[in-house]
Amino acid sequence: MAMTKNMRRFLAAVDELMDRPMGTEGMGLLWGEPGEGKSTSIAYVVNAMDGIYARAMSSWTVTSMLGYLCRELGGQRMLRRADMVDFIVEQLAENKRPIFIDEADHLFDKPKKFEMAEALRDIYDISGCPIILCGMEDIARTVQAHGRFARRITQWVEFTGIDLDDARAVADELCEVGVADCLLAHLHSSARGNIGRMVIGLSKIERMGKASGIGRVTHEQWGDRELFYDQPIFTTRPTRNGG
Amino acid sequence: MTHPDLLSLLRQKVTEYNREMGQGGQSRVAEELGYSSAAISQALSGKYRGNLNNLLTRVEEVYGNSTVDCPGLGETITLGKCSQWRKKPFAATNPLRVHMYRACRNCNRR
Repeated sequence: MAMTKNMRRFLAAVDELMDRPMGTEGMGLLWGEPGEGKSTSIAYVVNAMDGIYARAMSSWTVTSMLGYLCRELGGQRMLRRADMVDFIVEQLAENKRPIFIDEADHLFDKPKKFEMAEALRDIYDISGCPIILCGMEDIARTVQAHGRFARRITQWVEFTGIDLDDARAVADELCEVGVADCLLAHLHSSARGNIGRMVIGLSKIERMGKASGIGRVTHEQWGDRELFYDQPIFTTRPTRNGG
Repeated sequence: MTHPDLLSLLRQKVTEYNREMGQGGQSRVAEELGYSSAAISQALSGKYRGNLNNLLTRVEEVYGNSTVDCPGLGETITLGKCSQWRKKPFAATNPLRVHMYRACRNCNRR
C-alpha cells in the first residue's frame, strides 16, 4: 500500500473522528473522481482501524442495508428494522468502531427518499460511532443540499490527483520493474495524475519490462506504446465497400 | 510459540486478571478464549482430556503476538486477525470480504 498524500489526509481525518471531543459531530465524507483510489484506501483503513465496511448497492433498501450491517457485526439479518437497529447499536456500544459506507451515492437515490441516509443518521445519533460515507464527485453537493445531514459531517475529504512524488511511491510499491523518471513523468501526465489509471499503466510497463528483460524501463524504450486499455475510437475504420 | 511457552502465557494471563480484579481471572480467560473455566483449570494442571493443541492455538490467537504473512491482504497481520478473517462466514457486504473469503479458503493456514 503506497502512502500517498490523499491517503494520509484520509487516515488523519478518521483518526480525528474516532477521538473527537464530546459534543462535536463525527461524520465524515470522502469524495472524488472515479479511479482516485477511494475504495482502495477504504479497504486499507478498515483493516487498520477494525472498521465496519459495507458497500452500498443499487438494490439496497433500508431493511437490506441494516441486514448487511448486522452481518458485518457478526449477527444475522432480522425481520424488523427496529430490531436490527437495536442490535447494531448494542454491538457498537460494546466496541466503538467506525462505519464505512462505500458507493454512498446509492443512499441518496431520489426515489428512495433518502430513507437509508436517515436510518444511518439514527444509528449515528444513538451510538455516536463515526460514519464515513464515500462517493463520487456529486455526493458532496447532494449532501450539502440535505442540511440535517451536512451539519453532522465534520470531516470533508476530497481525493484529488496525485503529484509526482506520490507517483514515484506508487511505482516503487507496485511495479516489480524499475520505472525511469522520464517514463514516470510521461505516465503521470497522460494519466492526469489519476492513480487508478497509473496502476493500469504500471502493470503494462511491468509486463513489457519483464518480457524484454529490462530492469529499468525508460521513456525511450517504451516509445509510443499505449499506456492504457481504453477502446480506440472507431472513426478511422474503413467501411466494407471502400467508402 | 511452543507448548510450554503458551501454557505459561495462559497461566500468566490468569494471574494477571486475578491481580486486577481480586478473583475470577480464570473464568474471564475462559470467556475470552471461548472455552469453559473447567477446561482452563484442567489445561493448567496438565489434566485436560481434550485436544490441548487446539486450546493452545486459541491462546496464541488471542494473547500471542505472533504474525503471519497474509496472501489475501498482501501484508503481515497478527495471528488473531488471521483467525478472525478465517472464521467469517460468507457475506457479500463488501468487495474485501468476498475477496478474503476466497483467499482464506485457498490458504493453507486453516
